[in-house]
Amino acid sequence: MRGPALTLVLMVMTGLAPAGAGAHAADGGPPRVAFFVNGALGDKSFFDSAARGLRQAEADLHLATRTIEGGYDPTRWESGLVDLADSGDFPIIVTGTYTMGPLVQKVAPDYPDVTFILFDGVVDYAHCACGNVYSMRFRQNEGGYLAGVLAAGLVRAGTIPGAREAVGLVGAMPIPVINDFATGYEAGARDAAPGITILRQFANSFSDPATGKEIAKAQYGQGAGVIFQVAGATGQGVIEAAEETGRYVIGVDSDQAALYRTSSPRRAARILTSVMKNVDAAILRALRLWQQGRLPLGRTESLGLKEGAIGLADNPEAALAVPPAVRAAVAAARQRIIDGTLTVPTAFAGGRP
Amino acid sequence: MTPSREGARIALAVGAALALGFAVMACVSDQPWAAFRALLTGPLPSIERAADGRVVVHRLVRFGAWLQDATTLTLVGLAIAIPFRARQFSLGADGQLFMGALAAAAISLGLGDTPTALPLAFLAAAAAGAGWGLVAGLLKTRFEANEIVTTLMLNVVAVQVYRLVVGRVLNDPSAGFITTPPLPEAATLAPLIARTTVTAMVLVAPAAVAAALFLLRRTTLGYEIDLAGANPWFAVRAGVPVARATALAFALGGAFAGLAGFHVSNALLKRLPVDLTPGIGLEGIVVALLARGRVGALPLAALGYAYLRVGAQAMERATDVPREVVLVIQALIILFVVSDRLAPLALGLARRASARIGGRAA
Amino acid sequence: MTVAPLAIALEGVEKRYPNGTLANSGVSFAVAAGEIHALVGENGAGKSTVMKMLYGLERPTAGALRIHGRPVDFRHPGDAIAAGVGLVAQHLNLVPSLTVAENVVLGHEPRRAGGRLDRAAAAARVRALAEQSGLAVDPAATVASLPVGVRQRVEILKVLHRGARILLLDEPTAVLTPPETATLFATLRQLAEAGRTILVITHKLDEVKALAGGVTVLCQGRVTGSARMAELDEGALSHLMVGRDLPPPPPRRTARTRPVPRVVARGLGYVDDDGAIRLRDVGFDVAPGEILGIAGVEGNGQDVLARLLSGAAIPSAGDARLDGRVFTGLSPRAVHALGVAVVTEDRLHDGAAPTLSILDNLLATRYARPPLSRRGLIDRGTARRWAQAVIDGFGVRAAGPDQPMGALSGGNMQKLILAREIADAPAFLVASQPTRGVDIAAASALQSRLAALRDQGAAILLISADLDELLALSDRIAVLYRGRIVARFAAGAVDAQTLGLHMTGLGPSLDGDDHDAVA
Repeated sequence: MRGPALTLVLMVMTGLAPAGAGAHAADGGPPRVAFFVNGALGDKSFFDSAARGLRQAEADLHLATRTIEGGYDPTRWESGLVDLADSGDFPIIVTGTYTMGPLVQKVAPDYPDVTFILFDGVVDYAHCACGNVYSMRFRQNEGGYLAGVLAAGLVRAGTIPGAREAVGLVGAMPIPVINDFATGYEAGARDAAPGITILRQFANSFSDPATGKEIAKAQYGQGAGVIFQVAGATGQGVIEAAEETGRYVIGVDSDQAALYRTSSPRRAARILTSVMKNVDAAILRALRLWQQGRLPLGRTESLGLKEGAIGLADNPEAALAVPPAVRAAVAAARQRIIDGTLTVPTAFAGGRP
Repeated sequence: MTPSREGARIALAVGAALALGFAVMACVSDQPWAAFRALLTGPLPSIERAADGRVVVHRLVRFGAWLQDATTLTLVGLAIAIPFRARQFSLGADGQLFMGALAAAAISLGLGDTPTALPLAFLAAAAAGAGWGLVAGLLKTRFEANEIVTTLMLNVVAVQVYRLVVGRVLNDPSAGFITTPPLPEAATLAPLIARTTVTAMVLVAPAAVAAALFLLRRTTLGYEIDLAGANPWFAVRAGVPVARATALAFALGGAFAGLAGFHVSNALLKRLPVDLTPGIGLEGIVVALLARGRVGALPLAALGYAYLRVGAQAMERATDVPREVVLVIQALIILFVVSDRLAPLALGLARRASARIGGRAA
Repeated sequence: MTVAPLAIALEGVEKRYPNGTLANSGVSFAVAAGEIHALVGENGAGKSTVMKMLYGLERPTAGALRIHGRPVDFRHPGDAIAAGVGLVAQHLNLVPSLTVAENVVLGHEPRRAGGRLDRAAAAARVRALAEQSGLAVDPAATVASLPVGVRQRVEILKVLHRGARILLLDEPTAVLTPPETATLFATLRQLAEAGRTILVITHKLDEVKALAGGVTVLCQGRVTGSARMAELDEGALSHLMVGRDLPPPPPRRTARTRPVPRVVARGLGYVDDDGAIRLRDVGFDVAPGEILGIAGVEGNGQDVLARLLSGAAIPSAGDARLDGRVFTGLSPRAVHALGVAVVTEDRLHDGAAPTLSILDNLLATRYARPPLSRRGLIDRGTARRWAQAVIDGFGVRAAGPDQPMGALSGGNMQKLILAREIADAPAFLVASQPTRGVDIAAASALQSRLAALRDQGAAILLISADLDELLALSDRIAVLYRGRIVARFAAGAVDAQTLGLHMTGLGPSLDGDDHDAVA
């Protein structure tokens, strides 16, 4: 038992030197893209959407992509990111969230030959030599605004049985990205229906559907006709509450009605629309620009309705419930934002770049 | 067991575990050899000669990650191993770590860029961890509350207090996520090796072990802890203050977990995010088990376990072996090493066989 | 040599544990069918390991076992039971809440249709077995209500019920009073006459003489002697067992007791957490240079008395004074500081830390003050020199101060415990079972130490189940029965049989609180 095991170890130890070096820059092969996830895939929203974008890039742009899950321990993210940059295997590294921003800012200057694409997060270009970093932030407040117009308009139309003049919002945590959705939502609701009651509560978790449902039921009980959920997996509970009470809900990040269309049509019918944050499309776009040599490195791009990075999903089942006038109001607001005649307030300090 | 026998036992266990791990890999991977190589050599830097003759060191960061991981693991290992000397199964390293990190960050932010910020943050972390440990110790000795339950519950409390303070009190509104502001530079430790997160804490960890050993072997308190753990009934009859020693063992362990928190806050992250994940404290249990509760063996056990963790990550990054299988292999190795009877059994069989052969010859 | 067929034969048996400890090496001896054979030797000499191998609890790492001439390889006790070997354990394994019959048939129950226990059949079967083997018990009695000696009989019946032809007994007399011992011996002789083979572990010379037909002596895992009793005279036997001639018994006290008692206990009582009265109105005096013996069947309050006097428990009533100062109700450390030393009853439980070194064990009562520690730092050098001096001075066979306490024989362990307790020249020593489970030579050495301490002027309370020891050492003897002192005797005015009667509650009761009268 001991002999073979030792031999095995020795064989591997001695045969390792060439392999440990790794295949550098993959001469001849397609460019290799690394996607560093500061968490794990399978969240059915944000990271999964980004991974979808990478897969699309692999098919459309003929890139070789590799997703690396960094796990949930933040103390390992920096070394994980440096490891990727240092390996020399990946000319381009994609990563996301505001948490990763400072890490990219710290690591990127050491690896000027590597391009970093940072989505939904920013680096401080004034204080770092980050000419190899392209960052994009999303104007989710614009999507939130449209959701607010839709929700308040529908409630004011008075077609929802049992509802009073109120709309709700269930957030995961009071972090800036979520607050940004909420700020836009509240502004939209007030503009569409001045004086309307707006309920807002946080579940303090991205993954607690039970609490989400509890909060949603309380808000529906207080007369909310529509709730906008910005709460990741917690939002599933909000959707359940909508089904049980017969009120409406607005989803987030991806087209959530589509997720339920076959498995639970009754639930899908309660989802008016979803405010989509098209991380996948934004990543695909950035990679395409990079391939074409047109990626605006060294700056942050702000993506919103105009760029197609934010939008409302179509849900034909629920659309019937929305009076034409409300639909028209949403369309008009959308156009004014795209035109630049309407600036939606934001939760981010210092406003938009 | 003598050190050489113990060494042989561990080598045998690791060898057997690796062989089994390889078998698992061969089942799930198209490139088992590459995966195996990544596992075994992942944490080592690769040294290459570039085309122009310069020597280039790659992947120093993995080496750094290994040392960094081993540093944290050694400290949380102490937090488990010291109460274990008093035969207390503390699972509280997590909570103590969070409290230590929080105290260090609070002191750092409060004092700002002053030379005293670093030492005071260090002491505050140790004190906060010790205090949190002492709570579990007192609950045990005063109220006979089962320490497994209390330490787990105190972990929950500590993590929530941490989140509350980071989210509400020390929150940096200008950051895009819920976190404290970056700690002032004077309060943080600079990397010893460029492009890694290896700081002076890598030296603090063995120093902490040496201090713990001195405390346990040379002081009356250490003796009391040992005696309380070896035979509490005897210790009581002999007049040893068993309750005090037991409670202090928790506090002492907590101080080291608090230092692990300092490592996280002032050396690794240099700010504290609200979603710092609990769980590293539980890894401390694995380290303490690997060291068989021997304080002096903790750094070795931590280095070995960290090597495995970083190697497993390297394997995950470099090959098609899925994360789940990586975790399974990691667990298998631990399982083999802590299985007491396994290797002695094999050694015994070997001796018996050779004795038989020898007997026949004679 | 012997014409009877061999029931047990060991040939070159070795037992090495996985951690490398060699418990037995080259052990060979044989027991003829129908013989009572004594296996003697110190604690740790490997006697129990031999028993365990014969009962399938351990497997030899080398050598061969034969039972009734057939080579056997027992993997677990089931194999041994199937081969007709039964073990009467030292610590009796009975279920106290069940009846005698239920205990005896446990695991081999007669069942009625539906699988329920047939109580009537069980009782009848046990009654028949008891009559047939001469073991008088009431099958319907609850085990909890029986004295230890009777419980042991039940244990033997249990083994016989499983069809044992060979009985293994590990120190069967350790828990018995003299009358119970006599009954047990009669039973064993009867069983042997009926053809059963008996292998018994004992420490006591007189038991070997009284009972055995053959004897095998183990020392450090090896057989150092094996003989038939008929071929030995007493001197040869003791020489075989001890390795040298027995030392003379400890000298009796010569000095006159000074009139002022050093220790005065009055009205000591203790009620445990369950409300049971464990000790009631116990009073005694001990003068300097005097040994007061406490006799009693285990569990009649001796342990409680020792705990009260050592600070391990607080009396519910009464107190005890040393030179006029109350020392009951204080912490163990405070009690020790006043000059009270304690040898606890169960050295492995609360007398030592077996996993720690000899040095660490010796430190337990002295580590907190100079010269062994200063300002919280232990002076390991001084401590080590002291430990080595103790090892040498008390004739302890040990590799050195770093050897784990648990690796020592019972006698050596007990010497170290006594050494630790008398290191600070105590004014009062409470010694519980100081020689239990200790080989003859060590017991004799320990008794001499107690006598020496007494001669230096210490007051000693000697609690012992060994009546010979009590009679040899004590100046006066008090008998504890159900938590009360029921009889008091001056040394020389009482014999073991009389003590035995009082210990079992059969003696004429003592009237009133007359400790002063005897003291």
